[in-house]
Amino acid sequence: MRHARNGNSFRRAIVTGAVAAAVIIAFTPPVSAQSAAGSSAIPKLTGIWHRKGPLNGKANAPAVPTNRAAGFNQAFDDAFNPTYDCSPTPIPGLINDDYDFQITQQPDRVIIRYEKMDVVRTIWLEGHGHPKPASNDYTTQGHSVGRYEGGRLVVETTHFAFDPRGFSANRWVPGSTLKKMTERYWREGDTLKLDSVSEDPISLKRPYSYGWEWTVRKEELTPYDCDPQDSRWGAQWHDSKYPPDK
Amino acid sequence: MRRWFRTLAVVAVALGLSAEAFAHHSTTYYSREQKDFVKIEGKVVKWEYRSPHSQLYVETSDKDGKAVTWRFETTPAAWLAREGITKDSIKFGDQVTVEGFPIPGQQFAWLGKITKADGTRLLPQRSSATPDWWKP
Repeated sequence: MRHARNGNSFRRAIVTGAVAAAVIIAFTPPVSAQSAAGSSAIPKLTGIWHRKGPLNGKANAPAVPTNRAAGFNQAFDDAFNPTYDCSPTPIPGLINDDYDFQITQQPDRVIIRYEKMDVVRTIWLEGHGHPKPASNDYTTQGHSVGRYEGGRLVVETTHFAFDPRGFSANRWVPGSTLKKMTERYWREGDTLKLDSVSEDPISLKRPYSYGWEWTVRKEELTPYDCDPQDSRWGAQWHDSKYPPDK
Repeated sequence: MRRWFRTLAVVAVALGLSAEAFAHHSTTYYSREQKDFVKIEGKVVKWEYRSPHSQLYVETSDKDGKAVTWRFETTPAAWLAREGITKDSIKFGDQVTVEGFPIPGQQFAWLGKITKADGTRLLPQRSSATPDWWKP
C-alpha cells in the first residue's frame, strides 16, 4: 500500500509538473522561444525603413566578377533582362536598390516586405523546427534562416535559382545556385544598419560586401504594382549588342 | 582644403548611391543634347502613376497645327511619392508646360519638369537620363 501510495504521488507529481510546464510554455511571451534556442538579446527591428546612405558613410564598392562571369556580362543582351517582365530582382541587388522596406518580427520568423517589386521574404528563425528546402528547391530569393546573435539579426540565405541579375539589378554578373548571402541587421537609436557579404565561387573573385543605413519612415510603403506591358515597352528602344538577323 | 575634402566626400557618396539609383533599364536612348531638348505646352490626357515607370501623356499641336500626343517617362511611383508627387498631383485636362529629353524623331521623352497653369512645379528626382547642363 505504501508503495502504491508513493507510486500515485509520483504520478501526481509528474502530471502536476507536466501541467505546470504546459502553462509556462503557453504563457511565456513568444519571443522567448527564440531565447530558448540559445540566442542573445533581440533587437527591435520591426518598422518601415527609409534609406539614409551607405554604412558609416563609406561608399559601397561593386562586386568583382570572375572571368567567366565577366564574360557572361559582356555577352548578355539587355532584351533578355527578366526585369522587363516584372520578375523580381534577387538579393543582394534587391536590397542595394534605393527603395524602402518593412520588417515584421514574429516569434518564429522575420518577414521583410520590400517596396521594390513588392517582394516579401520570410526569414525562418532557427530552433523552431522549420522544414528545410529540398536539395533541388531553388528560388529567386533563396531560402533564408536567421538567428539573433550579439544584439543583431543574422540571416543566411542559400538555394538561389540562377539569375543574370545575381548581384545587381542592372549589371549582368550572374548568381549561380552556389550563391550565399549573409546579412547582419542591428539598430542604433532610430537607425537600422546592415552589413552583408555575398559569396559565389563561380561568379565572384572574392566575397562582395556592402552595408547601408536606414531611418524610420512614418508613411506606408507605396505599392510597386509592376505593369509588365509598361515594363517591356521601353525595351524596344534598346539596341542589340549583336547584328540584326537576316 | 576643407572645401576640397567636402567636394570629394559629396562625389564619393553620389557615386555610391547613383551606381544603383536607376535599376529598371538603361536610359541611353534618350538624347542629352541641348538641341533635342523639348519644352511643350499642352493638356494632360493621361497620367499613369505606377512602376517601374510613371508615364505622362500630353496633347499639344505640332508645327502644322495638328494635334499630337507626347509621352513622358519618369521615375516609379515610390520615388515620386518621396518628392511629394502623388497620383492626384496631375489630373486629366490640366494645362501644363513640360520639359524633357526625347528620343530623336519620337514623341517620347524622359520627363524633366512639369509646370502647371497655377505655377506649381513638379520636379521628379534626376536620373541618368537627365543631362548635367539642364538646370531646372
